[in-house]
Amino acid sequence: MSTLTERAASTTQPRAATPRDAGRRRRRRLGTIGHRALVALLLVYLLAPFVWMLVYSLYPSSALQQASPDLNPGLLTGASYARLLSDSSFLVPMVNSAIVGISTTIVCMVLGSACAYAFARYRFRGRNALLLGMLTVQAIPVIVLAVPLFILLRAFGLYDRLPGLIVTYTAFILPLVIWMLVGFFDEIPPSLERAARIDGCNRLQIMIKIAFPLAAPGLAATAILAFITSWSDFFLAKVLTSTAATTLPVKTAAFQGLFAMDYTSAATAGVITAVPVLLLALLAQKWIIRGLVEGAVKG
Amino acid sequence: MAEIELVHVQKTYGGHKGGAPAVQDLSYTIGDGQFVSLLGPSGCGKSTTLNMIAGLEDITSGEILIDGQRVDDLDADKRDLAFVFQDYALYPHMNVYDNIAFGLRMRKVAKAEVDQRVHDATRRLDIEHVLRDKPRRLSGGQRQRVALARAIARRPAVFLFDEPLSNLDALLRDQTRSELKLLHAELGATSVYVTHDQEEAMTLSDRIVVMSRGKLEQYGTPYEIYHQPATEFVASFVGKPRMNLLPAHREGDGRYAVAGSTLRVALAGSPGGEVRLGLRPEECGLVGAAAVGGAARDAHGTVRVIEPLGNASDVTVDLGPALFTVRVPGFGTVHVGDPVQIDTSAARVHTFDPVTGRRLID
Amino acid sequence: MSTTRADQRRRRDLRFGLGLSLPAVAVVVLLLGYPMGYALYMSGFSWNDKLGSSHPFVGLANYSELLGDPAVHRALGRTLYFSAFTVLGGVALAVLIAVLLNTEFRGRTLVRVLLLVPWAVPPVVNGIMWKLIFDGSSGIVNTILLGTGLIDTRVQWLADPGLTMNVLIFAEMWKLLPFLCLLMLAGLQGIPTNIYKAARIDGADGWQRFRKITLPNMRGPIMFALIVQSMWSLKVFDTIYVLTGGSGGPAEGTTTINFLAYLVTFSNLDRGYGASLAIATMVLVILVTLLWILLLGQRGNDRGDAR
Repeated sequence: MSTLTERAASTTQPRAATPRDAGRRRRRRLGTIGHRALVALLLVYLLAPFVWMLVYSLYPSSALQQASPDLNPGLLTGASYARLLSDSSFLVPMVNSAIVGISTTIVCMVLGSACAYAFARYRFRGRNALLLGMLTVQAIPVIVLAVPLFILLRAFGLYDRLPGLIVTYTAFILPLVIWMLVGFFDEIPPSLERAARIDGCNRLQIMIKIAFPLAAPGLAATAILAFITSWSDFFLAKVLTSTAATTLPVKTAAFQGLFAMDYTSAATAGVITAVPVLLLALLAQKWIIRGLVEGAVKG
Repeated sequence: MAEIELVHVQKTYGGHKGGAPAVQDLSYTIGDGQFVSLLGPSGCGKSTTLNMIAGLEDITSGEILIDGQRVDDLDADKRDLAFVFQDYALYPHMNVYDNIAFGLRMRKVAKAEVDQRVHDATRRLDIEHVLRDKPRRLSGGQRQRVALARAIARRPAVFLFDEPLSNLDALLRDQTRSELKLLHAELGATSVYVTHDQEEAMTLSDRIVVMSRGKLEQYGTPYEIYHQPATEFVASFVGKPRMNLLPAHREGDGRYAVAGSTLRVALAGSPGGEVRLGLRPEECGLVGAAAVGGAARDAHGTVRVIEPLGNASDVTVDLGPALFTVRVPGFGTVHVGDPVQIDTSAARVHTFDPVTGRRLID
Repeated sequence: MSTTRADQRRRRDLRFGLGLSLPAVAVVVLLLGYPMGYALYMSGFSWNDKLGSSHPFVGLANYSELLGDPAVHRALGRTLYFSAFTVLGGVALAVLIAVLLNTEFRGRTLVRVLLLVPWAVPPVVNGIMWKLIFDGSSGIVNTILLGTGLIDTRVQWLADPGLTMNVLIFAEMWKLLPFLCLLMLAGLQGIPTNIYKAARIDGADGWQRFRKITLPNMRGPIMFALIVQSMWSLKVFDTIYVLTGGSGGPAEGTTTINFLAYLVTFSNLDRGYGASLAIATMVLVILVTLLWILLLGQRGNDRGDAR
């Protein structure tokens, strides 16, 4: 009993600092410094490779290929960009990628959002199996379908034509879109749709006036994801196009050669190919993470 | 005029061959302008019944009539009712004004009229100043009022409430309860109110429907529910602290012995050999065994727990086979471990059939 | 009658749902299912465009051939090597880094945002980036290593089969690790902090808390990460193509089973054999996925929560 009262008395005054406290503080500070160092290392790891490519594209190759690269800011030049962007053999693939990307996104979003809404709202037997199926489509190595698609597109006269690419990309990207959107539509509380029913909305109106506006950020992020996936594709574009409908990744890859290589142009092409999707990803990052990552964690 | 009548309403999930019905053979009438609560524990079917009246769920068999017209065929929005949801169901992407106006606009009400009704409703509920805000900026209490305002602005024949107060904290709940009662007095519309809180049901309702496991236990006024519970379930569900329910058998003329204990209860009439006896804690009294002459064997039991509330104390007495709660005024005079005698002379004794749970007429 | 009404409502619901979903499902089934079936069909033929236009049906001969083909065995070995590092190493590192990032620190949100950068970079550009860095004659790595005196002659990273494979691993890790970190972070944030406090009171130190609380509760996300990363690793293509000039070399150094299928189909023009290789790769992906589910899947209702 007495120890309790003793301790009670001493808590009314601040405890005197002990050597153990100093040790703990020192350890904590070291820990924080170590932590900060690791984080800084991580940041370098994340950004350095891309930054280097950027740097490479902005300097004349002679300056960078010396034993100790000359990074004098006076040598900065956009010549490589000017050269590439005025070359039609580069511009055409760029425009193609944009057209295909936007078109694929539109088609996928229209078809996919309707389908995802149906899956989210109307539970039916086999729904989970279908959703799982959508995910397993991601498991298919594209090589399996390359030659059949080639033959198929050829048969329909769509080889080396933009619509051919759009149709193909839609087939691959649609499952991903549906899977992501179902997650977003699931988040809408059912009582909201019931309230809308009492307020007099029919099924279509509920979908358009309530569900879509509420899932809007998720819809935007999914659209961006669809565009990124479409823009970044290399293999299918290489197989299914040759000169007319070729896309930017294919053209960029062509800059590499086995022995001699125009590094500066390759770097420039790389930057131009990467920047649009990088910006889009950063723009929608919060919602992309929610859709992809958290959907995965829950599933 | 909006009288609601349920006729042999039944709801079974999974079609006709599915398991036990969620709602079984409900038949009763809610009078025009009355405030009726559907009271019961979770899973008893009260929300299902409300949803069927609203048209949000289909009836498996039976009929629902509003003002003599069959409505179970009609869509939810054609039944002229308003629904207040437990989670308020406010559209997050619209501001308060649009939330309230949405239903009116869907019904093609004239713009000027919409404006007038929105302002009317929000003024009445003292939220006119948040009309331009979105729901996420409002407090829980304010959101609840917006949900109410949305219902009021519709000027429906019937109001349906699905546990609207359960998401509020205790203080706000009591406050809003009184306001709801005032509102009903002003508006006078027929209201159906689902709740699991028997206090809410008692204070707000003209009549109460007590449900358990999909069946109707009793339909009556608060007085009837409290003083003449039709089944053992109703007796134990309504009233705080819970009614003491104990098995008893007839010992002699007009005397019943609580099984396994020394407690004897005087009962006029002879409802049966074996009964379940019901006694409300606040109607019983406690007499310290010392006052009875000090002999421990005269005590009915020993005090186990005392829970003081301020104006009264709930004393739990161990009778041997069971525990018995008595509510005594103030802080009481007994202590834990005291032998006591329970005084049931002033209590109204309820008797129930031990098998069916139905009230035995005394 | 109310039952007809209910049935009517249900039928209209069904029609609405079907109307909304049928176009999308039809597109996917037709445009993916048909080529897939055709690929299966192709794999049953001896179909080599270099050898002429006769395609005799050979049944499962292609499959038995690939089972004994030493090139396939070597490719499988390389694939295993590559996957072991990227899948196991990747997920393990991701968990550790996620634990590192799970505490509050300044700039935390910035780091989380930047984690998306490698994921967003198109795989082709990834190849170019790392080629720039590791190129034998003009890459920056050689320049740095020479400058700091760690080596005296330039290392031909991309001319040596073993080194090229390791560069490939490094490049792919850069691209996939941050996304895996995001997955793991989300998983970590799903664990309620209270149970860590309870464990502290129970006397568990940091490492014990990691083993007994963090890891068991991360079983789901970790399994998902393993599955997804296995799929990605088996499907790697663009980076290999750009790093090695489309050859999968040097001397087959980076020819994984997926790349082998590509070479056989498009370089050797052996469509039938190539199709069977491709399908074999797909089967491999499915098998690995099932393996992970078997090893780590939830057993019954036991969720292993530390609640």
